[in-house]
Amino acid sequence: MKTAIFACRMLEQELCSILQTSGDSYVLKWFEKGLHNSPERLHNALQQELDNLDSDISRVILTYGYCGGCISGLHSKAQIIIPRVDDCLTLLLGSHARRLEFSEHGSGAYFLTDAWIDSDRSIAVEYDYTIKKYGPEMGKEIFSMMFRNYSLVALLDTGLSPLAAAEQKSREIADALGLRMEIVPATLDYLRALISGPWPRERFVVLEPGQSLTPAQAGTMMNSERSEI
Amino acid sequence: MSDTRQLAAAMRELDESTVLELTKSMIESGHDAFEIQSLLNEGIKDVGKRFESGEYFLADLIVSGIIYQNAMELFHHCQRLDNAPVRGKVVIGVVENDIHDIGKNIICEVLRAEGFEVIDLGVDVKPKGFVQAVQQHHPDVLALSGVMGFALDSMLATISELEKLGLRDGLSIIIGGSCITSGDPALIRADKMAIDPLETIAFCKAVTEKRNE
Ligand code: B12
Repeated sequence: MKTAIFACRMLEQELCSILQTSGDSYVLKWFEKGLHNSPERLHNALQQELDNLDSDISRVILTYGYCGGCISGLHSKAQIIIPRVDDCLTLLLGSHARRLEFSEHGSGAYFLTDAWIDSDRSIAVEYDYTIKKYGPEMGKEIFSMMFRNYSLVALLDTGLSPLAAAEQKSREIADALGLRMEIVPATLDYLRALISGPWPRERFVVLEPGQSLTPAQAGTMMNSERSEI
Repeated sequence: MSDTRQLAAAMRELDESTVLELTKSMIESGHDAFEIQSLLNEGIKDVGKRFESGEYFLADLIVSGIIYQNAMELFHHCQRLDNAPVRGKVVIGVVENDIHDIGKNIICEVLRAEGFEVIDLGVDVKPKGFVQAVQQHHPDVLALSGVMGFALDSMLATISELEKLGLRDGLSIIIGGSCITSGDPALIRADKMAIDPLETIAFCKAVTEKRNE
């Protein structure tokens, strides 16, 4: 029996580097980055592929966490493995606890990775649209409202590609938004463990064939101590 | 198109001056808040759909929130002039680790427009922050808002803290925002889950009416 990976393009670089060195073979299915702006469409896209799974696939690994609730209700004839994370940012930071450290200073961090910077809805693209549509004065005001609760732009460094270009772009974004910029070390360990298994309860949800998460279970699965699943 | 249909359409098109004009004329001709909010909500839901389909951008979401708030302020203004009594008190905030506040701000304005006194604690409010506010303000309703995945967990932590300190009894708690999709409020021990602003108002009104009985 085979294992499939349902992967988000946001994690393409990271996942490919892991798969290159892994001896196992997987059926790999990519999902576009833009889907995450609509948790409902993302859910539907994932469910559709789960419904069309080849019969020799007995396990599906999702590189998605809660991601706006997209995982709630997903079900399959195969086993489904889900990391106990909010989203890809926690996955790359390595743990839920580490993610929370960034909001403990009282104001938030806006995270960037290579893939977030290059997405066709990157914050830089959003910024240009805003200035064009609403003019520089109103546009800047809109952005300062959008980011009024932030103090930091955090560029995740996975060590996979040279930082120079991303750093330059992050700095431009931070300057435009009036925020600090920091480079934050990231890790591939969580993603690697997700691909290779085993899947201990502290870090992963394992759904047996036919089983699914209720919305409330999906919303509380990040914290394994409190989660009922 | 009738005024009422035009209001939803103007909201969808982010046409602020038309939204404000129509809201004003509808208030003047005796339409109630519920009716006007329903139309604005319809418009704002369409804005969300256009964002999800890629037609609108983040800025448009923010702008829709601003227009909504400005329309609600018109109401607030009229009611203040009427010297309407305060209907009840609501403490609201975005829960710990979440700083998305567009939706919360809309809820604040909707409640104010309905004559509630709203104490807005802002974003990333720790359980302790909610506890202090409950002790200080004795609200009728505590409203917890969140969109991030871990918001539900923060809500649970907040409610547990209130329970531990014996502050839960007699306090009505509503949780909302898109961190919930549906499901069982009992799981996090709130009294009500909602996404729709109108449901939020209906709940807060029911709570205060019951108290006044
Ligand atoms: C706008 C937005 C932002 C803006 C926020 C601006 C602001 N000042 O709020 C910006 C760009 C700054 C932002 C940042 C981030 N975001 Co964001 N964001 C969104 C987006 C596109 C829309 C949310 C929104 O405002 N909708 C419009 C309002 C009107 O809707 P609403 O909040 O649901 O509110 C309505 C109801 O829910 C209800 N309601 C709201 N509160 C309450 C309370 C009660 C009591 C009740 C009854 C009802 C109620 O009434 C409102 C009116 O109808 C969503 C995606 C989406 N489509 O939902 C992602 C989304 C929420 N963000 C997401 C992410 C990942 C982030 C970042 C971590 C990204 C990053 N690279 O760092 C940071 C967050 C940092 C942090 N610590 O919080 C993810 C969350 C995934 C997850 N973990 O669950 C989402 C789902 C997108 C995605 N799939 O990737 N974001």
